[in-house]
Amino acid sequence: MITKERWAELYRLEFPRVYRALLAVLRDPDRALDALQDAFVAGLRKPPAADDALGGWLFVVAVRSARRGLGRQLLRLDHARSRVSKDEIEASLDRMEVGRLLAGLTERQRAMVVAQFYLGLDHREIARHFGVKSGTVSATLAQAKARMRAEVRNAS
Amino acid sequence: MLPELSIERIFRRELDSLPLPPEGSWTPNRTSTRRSIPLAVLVVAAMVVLVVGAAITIREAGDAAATGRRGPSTAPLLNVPHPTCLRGGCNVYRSDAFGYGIVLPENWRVAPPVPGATAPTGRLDRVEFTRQTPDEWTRAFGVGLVVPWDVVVEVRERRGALARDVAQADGCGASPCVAGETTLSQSPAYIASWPISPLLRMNAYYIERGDRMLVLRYVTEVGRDGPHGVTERTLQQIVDSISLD
Repeated sequence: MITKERWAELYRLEFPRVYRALLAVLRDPDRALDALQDAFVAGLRKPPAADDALGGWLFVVAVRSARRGLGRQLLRLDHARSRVSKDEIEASLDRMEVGRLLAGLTERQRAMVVAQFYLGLDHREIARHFGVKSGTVSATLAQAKARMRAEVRNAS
Repeated sequence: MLPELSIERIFRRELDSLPLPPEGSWTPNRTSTRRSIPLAVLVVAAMVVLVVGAAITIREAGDAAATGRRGPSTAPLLNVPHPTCLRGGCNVYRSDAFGYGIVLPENWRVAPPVPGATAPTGRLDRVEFTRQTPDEWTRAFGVGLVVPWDVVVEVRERRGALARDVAQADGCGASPCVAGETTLSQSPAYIASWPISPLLRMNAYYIERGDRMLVLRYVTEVGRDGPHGVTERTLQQIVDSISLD
């Protein structure tokens, strides 16, 4: 049985990678942190059945939480939790090659691209975590890559 | 076509430079929760939930009494499974954080953390696998923090040390030690075995992995097998099963 301490330990190990992946998708440090904290709490209540690609599990639970949480941001009172503002993160991403490539994608495409290229998940793992068919992942990633290629062509 | 390997490298290089929030904010802080819904709203919502819940409970209790059946329980699970059983069977442990996987025989499990134990300097991770029941494990605990017939996998900071040096620091050298070279998951490993008491023997494998050292250890009892049919061959098979990313 996993203890709360062990879960917290696993979470802390994965935090940097998953948080940065969420920043790339959501482009908002507060949303990213909220979503990842939600995933932490979800894992305390019902941990994943497998710890392979635990980062992938945290990432997808957080992405879903971020989507659900869009409306409730209005209820938040402490906007200044992160030392870095949303504008600063967006500016950082815009300066990055990766940030510019991702900017032209939908949030779902960004999530799958980041899952593949940053978190290192393969199509099968992405499909399992997102609860979709492998073919859907392939199609989404193909569309995303086509857009990124176009972005590269436009820039050069 | 986009060169995918290069893209992965670019993603890692660029995204790894994004700043992290202060470590204290990584887990939710209930005293300064981010969703600071006004207290009055929460109180009203709680009262509504209680009233509706009570009404439903009374109705279900009446129904259950009338039909002689119990309603479903929605209580949260207290005994949650550890997150290490994967790929169809509960016999593979994988550490994505430290890049290894290991196959465990049926009925093996991850031992609980040692209460009150503090990690020595330079130790990044420690996982102990055991075949013993929780009661047996608690009674057997001791002997330099390795329970006989368990397998321990540790990840340590290497700090430039060679496997041989680390083995000597662990005890190979002070005691009559049998040492040699072997291969685990196609990586060279330093293997050492030395007595830690008249009845117990330490067996250890050291794998240098960049700035880290992966150490696999188990303790056997001289002249006897372990509990539940565990033999040295069982432990050897577990060690041999390790796969490294």
